[in-house]
Amino acid sequence: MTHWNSNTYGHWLLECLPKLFLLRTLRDHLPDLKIAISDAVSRDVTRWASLLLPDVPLVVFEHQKEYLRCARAILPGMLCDGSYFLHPAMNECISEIKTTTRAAGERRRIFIVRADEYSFRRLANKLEIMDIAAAHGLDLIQPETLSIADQVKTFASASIIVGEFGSAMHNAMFADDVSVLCLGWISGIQSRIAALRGQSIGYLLPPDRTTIKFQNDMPSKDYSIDPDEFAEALRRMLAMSGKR
Amino acid sequence: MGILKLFKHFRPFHNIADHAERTVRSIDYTPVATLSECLTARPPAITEMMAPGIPLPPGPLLFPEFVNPTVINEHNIATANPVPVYVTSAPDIIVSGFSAVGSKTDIFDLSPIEPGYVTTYFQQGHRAAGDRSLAGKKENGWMAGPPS
Repeated sequence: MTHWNSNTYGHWLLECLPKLFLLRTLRDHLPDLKIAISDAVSRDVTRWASLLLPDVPLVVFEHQKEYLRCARAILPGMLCDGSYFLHPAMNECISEIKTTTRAAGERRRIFIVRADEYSFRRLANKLEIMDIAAAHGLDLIQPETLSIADQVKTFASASIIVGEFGSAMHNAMFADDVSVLCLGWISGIQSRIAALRGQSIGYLLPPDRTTIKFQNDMPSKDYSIDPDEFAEALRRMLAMSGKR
Repeated sequence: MGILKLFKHFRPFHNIADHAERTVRSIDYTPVATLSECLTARPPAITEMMAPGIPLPPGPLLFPEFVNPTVINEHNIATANPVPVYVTSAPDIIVSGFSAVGSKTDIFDLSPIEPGYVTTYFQQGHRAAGDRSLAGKKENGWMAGPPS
């Protein structure tokens, strides 16, 4: 179900979580199913497994001391291709997930605060941008501090989602009828999610309109978002949101 | 020197080659028509779990004036290629490290059920992909049994 990059949350959401959904749909055909998980894998993965397949035992092995030998392995596939074009059935997967976390609350406008640790890019004027977001009525959210169910509910209830491009923003996949604004840009993945979910999406790049792309061993790079452009984008998003 | 600075100091060493005893090789899946055939096949087998689906097209990009042509082009890419959804199954499998799937002698390239970069990192010996060796590790027999 997992691979070595599953601890990067965005990769988990897009590449691995749909495998849990597939296993859930096949559950009746797999009465003896157990899920093998390395102890190097994030606790978020086991939380997700417990949410979607609560009756399936997890077999956690100590990766530095042992390995598992399985009489038979079932290896479910992804619901996207190598360019992250998503199978329309991913919408069913998301609906199924939302049934397990129950209904979303009242609609919110949220700004996703991104942890900077070990990142290859850093928003240099993050505090200024957060202040502008709060002044426009957005709730500042750190998704990783919430339970999985609360993360899903928070994003599902959002009418506006704003934040730095990255894994946490991929949680926008749980939202319907939402406008998304990403600060910075790395790849087309967030646009693929928006296409799947029928979401409005825009990006705001630094004033010189450059992007920072990941390369192995690159030093961390700073970028800044123009505060006036950010405020203007927020005003326009709020106006659009008010018309819906 | 703080812990974080120390971490960054050592970052260049993250991609040095691992001491890998196992090689990376592709799996030759045998296509089968049904899940039950897949679950009982002796060779590694693959089956389509749902009809391939064409991804939904992108909507209009908000605020194109705030981005560059690369972002606009990437946003507007659409594909008419259907995305397949597979389930695969194989007997006598070893799972180790950060979730490497293989045998005593090989780590398997699980394409198309995993992204290509997963195998690329194994092939290049990146440390990020985890320990590929079984040396010094004991076999966990909890799931062990004769291959079906």
